[in-house]
Amino acid sequence: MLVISGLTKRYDEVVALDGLSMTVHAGRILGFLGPNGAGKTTTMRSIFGLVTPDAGEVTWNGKQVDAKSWSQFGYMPEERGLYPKMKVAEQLRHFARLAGLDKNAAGLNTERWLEQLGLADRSESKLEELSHGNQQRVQLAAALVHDPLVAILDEPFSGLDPLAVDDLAGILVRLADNGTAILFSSHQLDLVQSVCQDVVIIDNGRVVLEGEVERLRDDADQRVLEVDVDGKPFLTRGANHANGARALIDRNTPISEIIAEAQQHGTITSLSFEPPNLSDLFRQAVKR
Amino acid sequence: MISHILLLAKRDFLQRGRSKGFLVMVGLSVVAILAVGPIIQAFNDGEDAIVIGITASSAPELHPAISQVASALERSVDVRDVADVDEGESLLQDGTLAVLVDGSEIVWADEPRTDAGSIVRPAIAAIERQATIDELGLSPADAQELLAPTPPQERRLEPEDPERGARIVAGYVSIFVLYLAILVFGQFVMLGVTEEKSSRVIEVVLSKVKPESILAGKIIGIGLLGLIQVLAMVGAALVAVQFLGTEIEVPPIGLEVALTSILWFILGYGFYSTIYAGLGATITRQEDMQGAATLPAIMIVPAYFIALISLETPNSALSTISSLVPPTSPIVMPMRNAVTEVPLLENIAAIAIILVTMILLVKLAARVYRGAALRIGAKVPIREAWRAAAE
Repeated sequence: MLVISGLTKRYDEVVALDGLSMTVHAGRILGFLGPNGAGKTTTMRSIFGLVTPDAGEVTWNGKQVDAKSWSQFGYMPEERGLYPKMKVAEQLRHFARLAGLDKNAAGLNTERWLEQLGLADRSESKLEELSHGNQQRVQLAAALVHDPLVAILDEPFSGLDPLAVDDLAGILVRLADNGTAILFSSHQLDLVQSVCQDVVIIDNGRVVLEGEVERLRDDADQRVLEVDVDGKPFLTRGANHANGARALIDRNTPISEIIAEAQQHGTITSLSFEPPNLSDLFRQAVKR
Repeated sequence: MISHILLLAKRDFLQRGRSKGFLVMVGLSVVAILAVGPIIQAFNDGEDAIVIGITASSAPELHPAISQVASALERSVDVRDVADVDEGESLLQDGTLAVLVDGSEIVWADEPRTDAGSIVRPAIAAIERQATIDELGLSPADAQELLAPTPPQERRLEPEDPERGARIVAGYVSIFVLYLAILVFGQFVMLGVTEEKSSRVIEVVLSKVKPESILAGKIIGIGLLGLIQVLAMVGAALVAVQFLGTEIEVPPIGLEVALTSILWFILGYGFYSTIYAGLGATITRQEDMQGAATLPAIMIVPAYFIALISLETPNSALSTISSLVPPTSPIVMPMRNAVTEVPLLENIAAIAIILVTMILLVKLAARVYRGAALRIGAKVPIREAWRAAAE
């Protein structure tokens, strides 16, 4: 269990982190959300001691994180980058060795991860010869090659095509199933909703919403109602937020009345009533 | 921590060591040094004959007298008869003649040439002396007694050093190699640090490795390449000297100077590359390198010039002090060691001082590195990096 408690960091007049606390559990994936500049990268850097917080601490299984824990963690920074002129496999072996693996294990892990990421045939290529998407896969491999107990990934999916996103998401899910604690930040909220068990939303350096994704959605005070009449969106009463045909309404609104009203206008061609999705929760939590 | 340093050093050593640039540099420098011997030889062979012009108004004995002096001095001369002073002067002016002798007058183009002067002056003097002897009607025995040389007594405070010339050459070569190697490999360290920022890999490495270890790894890895370069150049110099044969007798002191140079390369490179590494962390773009590399360059250039001065006055206060303390000691001390006997204590003191300075410098550079490494983009002022690391 990675526990971040009371992290505070101030740069002159700017407050980057304002008493931020959260917990990443082993075997679970936590989506770390927030608008640009909310403090996500500063938080992740604090986990690795790359930023020294003014107050607060980060503990792993009850002990303050140190060089030993960092070697058991994996990190994919927002600023992507590896050694451009180094061969892919050589590079991954190097990072595995830096994480404390012996030569043999580093070689085996490198092979396994290249295989898993579909890069086995590029192992002898220089990094700079790879496509953007493949470089990103290698970057992920560099973070995970030593089979870390904790993976901290700063926007691991940005800039990838949907197929690559599916691939990498699948890998993260398997990793968590094997017991790794995963924290990743993203602006792709649909993806977070489908991949993560837990979510933390921060704004201005503090947590504004946190919990299990499904629980948060179910417990929300609103529901999303979507009604199409004769193929056209039907504007509903009681909607406090309209986004096309989607209306966020109070969860206790009697929807049978709305349906009845809609039917007076024509034939209902589409109807859905569900908890708000993560995007809705995000917008509400951040209030922008 | 040690394993981190070794892993990073190994990476830098292999990556840069395998690059064409490095291999070409080592190859070219060895070839250049080996070529110096034959070039000097060829230069000497070609220039050997000194061309001396004689006008008709000179004594007929002058020609044989010049040849005699020249052969005594082991110089080859080419004596040419010129029609008159005018012709002689024009040949002098266009550089055909080294010197013109008109009667007993010696004519130079501008500055008298030592080599030509040392041949024509005694030759003319001998002829004039002979003329005086003839005039006075002295018997050959009288003449000989009169002219018998009674050289003045001389003494020197320091015993004569037969290796003086060799020492000077060795000193020159040594500081040149040191100066060059420290600058080149110091800048490689800076480039390496900057590249890791511009490729952004630095954040991945920093998430596992302490800044001190990253700096140490880089300095050691590239330093080993520098050592290979220095060993190659020193080795080539020792080989080249063998070919020079009797003209410069370096071998007896060559090895001693070579070992001193290698020791001071390690110390000097350690000192300067730490500065280069710290400064390299403040920049991201290679365009900013030149500006950032100015500081160490203006530290090492004075060291080079003081070393040149030390050639003549190795025991002056300036030479002694600057051989003891960095940033000048890595260049000045090897020069003093080459040209004079430096007391052991001074050598030990210089090594101790630079080692202590280096420890402080590594801490300083690591702090700048910590404060600046993750700030990608414009050059980070050192003061800001220093403060950021404290926060």
